[in-house]
Amino acid sequence: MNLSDKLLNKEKLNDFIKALKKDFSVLLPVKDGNLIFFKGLKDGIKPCFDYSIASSHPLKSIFLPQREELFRFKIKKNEIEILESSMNDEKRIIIGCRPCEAKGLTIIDKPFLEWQPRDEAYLKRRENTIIISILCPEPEDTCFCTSLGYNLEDGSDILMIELSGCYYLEVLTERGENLVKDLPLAEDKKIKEKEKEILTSKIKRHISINSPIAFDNPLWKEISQKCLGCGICTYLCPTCYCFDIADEKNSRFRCWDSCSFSYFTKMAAHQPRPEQFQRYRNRIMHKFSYFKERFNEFACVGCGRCIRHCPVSMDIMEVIEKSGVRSQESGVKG
Amino acid sequence: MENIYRPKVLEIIDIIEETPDIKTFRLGADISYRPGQFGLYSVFSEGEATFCIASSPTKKGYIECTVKRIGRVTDALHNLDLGDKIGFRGPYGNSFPIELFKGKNLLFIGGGIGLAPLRSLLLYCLDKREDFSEITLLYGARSVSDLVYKKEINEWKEKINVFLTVDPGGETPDWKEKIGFVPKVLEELSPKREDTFVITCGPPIMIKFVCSSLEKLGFSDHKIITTLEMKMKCGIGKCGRCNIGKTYLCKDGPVFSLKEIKNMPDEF
Amino acid sequence: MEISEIASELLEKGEVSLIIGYDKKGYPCFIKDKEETKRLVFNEGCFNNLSVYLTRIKEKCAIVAKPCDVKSIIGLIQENQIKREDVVIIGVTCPGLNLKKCLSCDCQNPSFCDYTIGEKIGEKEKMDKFAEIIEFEKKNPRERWNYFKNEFSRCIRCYACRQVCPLCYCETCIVDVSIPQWISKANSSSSNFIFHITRALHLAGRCVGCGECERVCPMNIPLSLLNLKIEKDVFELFDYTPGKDVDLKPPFQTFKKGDYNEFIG
Repeated sequence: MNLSDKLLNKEKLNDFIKALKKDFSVLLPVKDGNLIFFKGLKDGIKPCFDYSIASSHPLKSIFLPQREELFRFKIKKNEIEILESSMNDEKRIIIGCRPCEAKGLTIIDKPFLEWQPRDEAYLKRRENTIIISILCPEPEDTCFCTSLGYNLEDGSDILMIELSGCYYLEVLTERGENLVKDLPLAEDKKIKEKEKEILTSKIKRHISINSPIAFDNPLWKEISQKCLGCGICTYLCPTCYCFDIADEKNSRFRCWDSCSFSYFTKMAAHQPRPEQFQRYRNRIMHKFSYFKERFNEFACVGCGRCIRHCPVSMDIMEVIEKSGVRSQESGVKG
Repeated sequence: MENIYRPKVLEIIDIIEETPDIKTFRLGADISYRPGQFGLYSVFSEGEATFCIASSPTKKGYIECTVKRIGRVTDALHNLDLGDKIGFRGPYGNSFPIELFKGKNLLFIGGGIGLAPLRSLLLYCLDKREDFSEITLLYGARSVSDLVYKKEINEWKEKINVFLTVDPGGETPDWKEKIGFVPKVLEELSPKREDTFVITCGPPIMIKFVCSSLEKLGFSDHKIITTLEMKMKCGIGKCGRCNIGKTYLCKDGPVFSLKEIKNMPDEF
Repeated sequence: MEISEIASELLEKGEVSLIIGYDKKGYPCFIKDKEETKRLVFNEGCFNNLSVYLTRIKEKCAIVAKPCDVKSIIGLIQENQIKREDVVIIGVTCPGLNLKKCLSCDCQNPSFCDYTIGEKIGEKEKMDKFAEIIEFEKKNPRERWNYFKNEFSRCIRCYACRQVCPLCYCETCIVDVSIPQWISKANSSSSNFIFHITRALHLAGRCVGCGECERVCPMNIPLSLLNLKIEKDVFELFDYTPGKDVDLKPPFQTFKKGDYNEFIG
C-alpha cells in the first residue's frame, strides 16, 4: 500500500477528531495546572498541543498502567477459582504525543513482544492503539533525543507537523493511512524535512555514546553519591518497564517498580545490590550497555524528564560522558 | 488471549518436614520439565515466589519444591496442609546440560537448601544410573538439623559416594560425618578431576569459595556448573530485576558454567 | 570569608574529609579535594536541603546550610541521628529564594552554626506562615478530605518526598514492609492516602517545613499544606516548634503534665 502524506486544515481539526470518536476512544494531552495528562476527549476539554514541557506521565503508562490487575481469584475452602479480569480492548487513538514517546514504546516492545512468551495484555493495547505524534514546537532545554540516533518517525502511525494554518500529516503506517484517506494530499514533501531539521537544530545538548560503559569504573561511586534513591527517573522514563507482581485479597496485580529502590533486588537472605551506587549503575548500564547488547539499541529516547525532575539535579548526559568516555581514557577495565 | 501470568492450580499431595524451617511440598501435576528449571509458586492472596523444581522428571505425576520459611509467601506456604491448592507457573529457565554429562563422573557439591536444585538432577541420574560414571555428593549445612533430605541421602549412599559435613559447632554428639566448611572439606577430599563435571549450588558466598577451591584442585571453568538465584517476579524476562549485567537469570539461566559466570559483573 | 576558603581550610586541617555544598548551578555537590572547593558557592538557585545527606554519610563532614536547613540539622541531633561534633555547619545568610516558603521565612540569619557566611540581613515584613492553613481549616471535613483525596490520587508513589526528607531516615519504611503488608505497593486512591497520611503523621512535631517534599513532587501534590496543618496543631497543643532549640525534647519524646489527653479513654 502506498502511503501518502496529507494536510489537515487547523479549522478542520475538531471535525477530524470528532469523526475519529465514532470508531475510537481518543486520548489527547490536556493541561491540568502545570501538568499535562493524556485524557479521553470529552466536551469542554481543550487539547493542548503546544505544551512546552513533556506530559506528566510518560506515554508508557497508557500501555503498561502503573497498576494492572492480572486476574482475580475466589478461594472457597481449599478450592481456588481463577477469574480472568476483563480487559478494556477498545480501539484507541492517541493524538499529540511527542515523537520520542512513541519511540519509547518500540523499546518496551523488545522484551515484552520479541522475547517469548509475549506479554499478551501489552500486545493487545499496542495493537489497539494508533499513535499520532506531533513534532515538538520547541524542545526543552533538557531534551537530547538527537544523541540517541533514532528516527523521529519511529513508533508513530502518523507524525503531525504544525505549519501555519494547517497540520502536515506524515503518514507512516497503513492504519495511519486509513484514518486520513479523505484528507487532501500534501504536495510539497520537502516541508516536513525542513521542519524536522529546524527542530533538531534547536536541540542544544548532544552526547556521543560510542564506547561501552565500564562496570568497574571507580567513578560510579562518585557520580551517584548525590542519588537519594527515589523512583522519579524510572517512573517518569518512557522506556523503564520494570514491575512487581503482588497479591491483594482477591486479585493478583502488577505495578511499576524501580531498580532505584533498595528492596527491588532484596531477598530474605541476600542483597546483590546493597548500595545506591550499584543500583544507579545498574539503571544507567541497563539503558546504555545491557539493553544495547541484547537489542542493539539504547533504552533511552532523550526526553530529558529524568534530568528535569531529579530532586538532586543528577544529569544522565553528564553521567554517560563521565562513566563511558573518560573511563577509556584512563584505561579502567571495561 | 492467553494470560501468561495465570498460574496452574495444583494440589499439595505430600509434605515432608526437612528441618525446623524447611519443608518439601509434593504437588500433583502433569508437567514436563528438565532438571535445573524453576517455577513461580503462589499462595493466593499472599503472592508468588520463585523456587527450583526439586524433583526429577523421571517421576511422573508430580513436582516437588523445597521451601525455607523466610518471607511472606514462604510463611504462607508453610501454613498449608495436604489437599490445599497453590498456584504454579513454569517451568522456566534453562537446565543442566545433561547431554554433556553422559558417561562422565559427576561431583555434586551442595550447601544448605542449595541441595534442592541439585536433587532434581541427582534423582534423574539415579534413575538413569547407567548413563553416568562415578557419582559423588558432598553436602554441608550449618548444623545437623539444617541438613535437608536426610532420609533420602541414606538411600542414595547405596548407589553413589556421599560425604556430609556441618559447620564447626553445628555437630551433635553422635555426628559421625565430617565437620568443616564445604570448601575446606572439598579440598581435603581432593576429588579426581579427570572426566568429571562439578555441579554446585548453595549460598552465593559458598559458591564463590567452592569455585575457587575447585580451581585450586585443577578443575576447568567450563566443567564447573552452578545454578544462581536472584529475586524474580515474572520469570520470563519482563519484570527486569534478575539481571547480572546483561544476563537475565530467568531467561539465560539459572544454570551457568563458571566460565560464563566469569564473564558477568560481580553483582550476585 | 568565602565558603570555598572555609571548606579548603577544613579539608587541609583534616577536620573533615568531605564538604557537602552547592555548585554554581545551585546543585548539590560533594567535595573531598581541596582544589575542588572553588566550585562551592551559594546563590538563589540553591534549593536543596543538603542535611538529607547527613544520615547517609558515614564520615566527618562539613555542610553548607541555609538558616532553614539548620532546623533539620537540629532535628537530627535531637533525635540522636547525628552528633553535633561530627558535623561542621557552614551557615549562609539567605535573602530568600524563589520559593513559596520564603515569603513567610522567620530565619534569614543562621544560628547554631560553626561559621556564618554573608552579611546580616535585617528584619523584613513577612507573611503569616499559618495564613494558608487557617484559610484551609475553614473548609468542612468532607471538603478537606475530598481535596486531599483528589490531590493524592495523582501520586505515582515514586517516594521522592520520602527520600528527599531529612527526617525520613527510617531504615525500613512502612510501605516497604511485606509482613504484614500495611500499605499496598501499587498506587490506588486508598493506598496513596494511607501512605501520605502516615508520612505526615510520622513527621508530626518533627517536620521543620523545609518544603523539599513538595518541591520535588513531580505531580505537584501540595504536601506542605498537610505538613503545615500538623505543625500548627503541634504548636497549639504543645507550644512546640520543631528545629528551634536543640536542647528541647520533641513533644512525642517527652511528657508534660498539662498535655492534651482527651483522646485517652
